[in-house]
Amino acid sequence: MSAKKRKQASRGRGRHPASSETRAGDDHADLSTPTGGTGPTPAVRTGLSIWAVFHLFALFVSFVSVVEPSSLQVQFLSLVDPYLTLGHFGADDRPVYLAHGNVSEQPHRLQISLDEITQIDQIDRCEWTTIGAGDYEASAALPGGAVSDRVARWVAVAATLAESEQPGVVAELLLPIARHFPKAKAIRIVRFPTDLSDVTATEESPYVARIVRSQDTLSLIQLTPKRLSSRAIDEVDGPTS
Amino acid sequence: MSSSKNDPVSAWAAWDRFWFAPRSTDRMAMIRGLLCLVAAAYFATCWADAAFWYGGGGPFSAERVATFLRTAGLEGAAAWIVSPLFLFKSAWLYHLYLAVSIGVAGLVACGRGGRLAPWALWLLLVGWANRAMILAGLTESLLSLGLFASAIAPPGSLWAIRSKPPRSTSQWTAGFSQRLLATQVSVVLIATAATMLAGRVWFNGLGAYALAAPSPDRTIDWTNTILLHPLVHESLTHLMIVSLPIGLLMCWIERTNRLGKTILLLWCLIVALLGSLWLYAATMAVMVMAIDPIQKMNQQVDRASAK
Repeated sequence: MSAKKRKQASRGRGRHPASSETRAGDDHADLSTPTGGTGPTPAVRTGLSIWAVFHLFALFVSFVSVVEPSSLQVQFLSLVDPYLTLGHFGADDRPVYLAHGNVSEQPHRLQISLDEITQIDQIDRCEWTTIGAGDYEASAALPGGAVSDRVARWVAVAATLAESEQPGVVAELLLPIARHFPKAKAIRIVRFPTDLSDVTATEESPYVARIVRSQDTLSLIQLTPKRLSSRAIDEVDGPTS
Repeated sequence: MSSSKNDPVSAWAAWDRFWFAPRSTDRMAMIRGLLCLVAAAYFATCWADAAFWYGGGGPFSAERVATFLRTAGLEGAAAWIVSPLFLFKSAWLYHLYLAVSIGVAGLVACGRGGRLAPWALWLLLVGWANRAMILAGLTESLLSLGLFASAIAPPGSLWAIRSKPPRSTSQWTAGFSQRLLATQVSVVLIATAATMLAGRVWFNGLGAYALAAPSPDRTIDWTNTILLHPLVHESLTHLMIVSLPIGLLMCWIERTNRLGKTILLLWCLIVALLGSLWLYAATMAVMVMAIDPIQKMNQQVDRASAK
């Protein structure tokens, strides 16, 4: 051993005298009574070890499954879902990745209008008011604060559901707002572009609905763009004689 | 003999030592105290809009949630979303729940309430987070993980670590609690890095900008600042993605532990500033403080055994 290495070794021993003396034979170090209390019994240690492995593995799978999970991951998560949900441990499809530049990360707002609307192409003619939480005024919440985060999450989920063609579920989420504003005649979710959006991108409305009120019922009728349709050629041509 | 390090018995002993070695109760009391402060801040932020969401006729009032789940066909999936708050209809009861939760967080931070108070605080948080359903974000999950792990440690006050003369004792529950907290945050950070890399913005240099881009939803608007310069946001993006695994690895090595923690704390600060993820970053930062290098704990056990 060179003088330099010997010096380094002795310096290392000087820093951790106890460890250098006992590490070689301390693999079975008695952990029971170092400075206070007794350690757990072997049975408890085994039980806790198994639980820790399970817990950390379930946690890992839950957190990485927010991005396109495999069928194996989905099966495993369905097994451990009660455990993760009961303790609120799981990621549950929340954006663990912070940002991916997806449309779901764009600012979403909920707006109502007092103007009558029957066709989706009329939305630009209406005057829209943005709705927030708390006192129902969007401006009341600090941007990026917990309150506006919850509103953003709520509206973004409703937009996703609307785009998955589940208008009934969206209506369930938004009906309380329609009820709170008795003069409102239309409601919509508007999504604003960000600097990362396409240069031609403008604000879009993933959900627009007419509010229909009768004496004791309230319903939201989603307005969708007219879809192109075609008829069978033989029908167009008419019967041949 | 060096071969003993590889046999199953020594591997079990190393595992045993990792999880069940006694640790200072004051250290965990400090970490738990800080988590309590974040939890109290979280509950306080829920005060303003609790009546809007959960009060009678609100978007997430008990009757609306039931109708929503029925319409969405999610009744089965929601069977495990358990919370006592589903029984409450009046807004004032939600405010009372929040007030009690803030009070319990304060008690736990002060080391009062014995072993039960930290568990009560965790249950209060889980009850609230499960009630929030889709309104809950990542902060709630992190806080639940943190409060759960720290509840295992014996009670102690936030400032006990600074008491003179030191009154600290070492207990295996404190060690297990700290190791659980440290491994949990490591798992979450690894998953964070892995899932970030699933998006191309973290490769093409736009990740940091994408985090700040929804400016109407951010407390600080960075979009028209120096961040707009490609050199700035691309460097920041690459630094953010590289610093996660490197910082985490350094935390687990004795020589680089402090530097690793500093890197991860800076990462939390950047995430908070760019993404306005204030409570998420605060929770993550506190949990990172629980990571102690493996060697340090071994030395503590060695010293204790030598006595």
